Amino acid sequence: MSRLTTTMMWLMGRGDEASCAEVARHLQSYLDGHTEETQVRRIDKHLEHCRKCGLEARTYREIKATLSRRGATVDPAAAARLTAFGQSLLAAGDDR
Amino acid sequence: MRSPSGCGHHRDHAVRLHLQPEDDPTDEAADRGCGGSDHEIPGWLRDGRGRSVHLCAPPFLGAAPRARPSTAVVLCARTHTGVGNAGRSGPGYRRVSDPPPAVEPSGAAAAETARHRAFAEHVLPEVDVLLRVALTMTQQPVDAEDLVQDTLIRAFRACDRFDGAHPRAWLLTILRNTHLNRVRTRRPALLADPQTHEEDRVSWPGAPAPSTPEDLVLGEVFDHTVARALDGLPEVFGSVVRLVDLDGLSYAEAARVLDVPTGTVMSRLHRGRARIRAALSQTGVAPAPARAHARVGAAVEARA
Repeated sequence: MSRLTTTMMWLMGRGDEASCAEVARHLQSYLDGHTEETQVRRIDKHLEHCRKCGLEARTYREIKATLSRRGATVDPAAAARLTAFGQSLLAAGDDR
Repeated sequence: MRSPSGCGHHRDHAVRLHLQPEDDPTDEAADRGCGGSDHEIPGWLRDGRGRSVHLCAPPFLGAAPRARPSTAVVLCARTHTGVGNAGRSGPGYRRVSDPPPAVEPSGAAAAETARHRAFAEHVLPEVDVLLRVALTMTQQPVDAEDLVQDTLIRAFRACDRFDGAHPRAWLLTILRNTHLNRVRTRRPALLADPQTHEEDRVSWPGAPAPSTPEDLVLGEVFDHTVARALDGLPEVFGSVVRLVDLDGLSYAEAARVLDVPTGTVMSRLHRGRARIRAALSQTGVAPAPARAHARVGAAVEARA
């Protein structure tokens, strides 16, 4: 955050929130839950009132949700077969 | 269950693991390649996909004596048809890994118990994650299942050396190494066709039904654009996006799978998502990025 922006935000009583540039830099890790708590609070506060950044966050959240839906379809039958196979390794060891 | 006669073609190996198609359950099928009688505890395991897995010798599950340095795990992924005896390698045979480490006989039982506990506690609960990541890596459901099965075998053997810390990361490393070994020996015909990726991912009975008609109408263009943009991403970006957003891995776990620093994962993820975001803007289903965000995106691209 530039010194001017920081100063202006302090003058506006918003020194404890992130700037647009700061949000832009940390948005991805923020959405992934990889941001430290202090930074999360600063970003949360900014997103409460910044329409542009809020829209950006919503867009990326929707992208993540769409991608997540594509990846969530693991064949349960295949997972069950593999679990059974793993258990059979244990069982075979017990037979020794 | 029957007791096979033996595996002469794996005579030099302490570990012999056979897969036999269920549609050829005759004794001859197993015996075509099994001429010896050196089994200590014969037994069959079923892998649940039309094949039986034969654990021919107990050293697979325990310690191999130091006196047998040539021991190895051999996984016969096909029938023994056309394969003779006496330690063959060739079609149908692959070396899965190096021999298990030697353990002093006095500690063998304790080591075995620890191995079993570690496998049950740390490995089995991760099967779903392994399968998802394997699907991303292989892009073929059948290959993914084979890859995870090989990974389970390796993990089982290595469990006694696992310190219990970060089991998922440890398993993902095994998965990656197993995948690399498989790719090196893979036939070109088995390489994935990216165009069939999506169909393969969802083509199983009982897959969740699509969303409601309203959702489909509202989200169709958005979802389609995201899917196309993802498929169009260069592999370096697409693989990270798939591992993190589709498979749910953390940055560190994705870094482990790809064998790159975590910072590289973050950078590639940012760039991959930004390209998907740009595709949405171009399609008109999302606004153009705000100036501050566009500027940061451009800076990330410029640093690469």
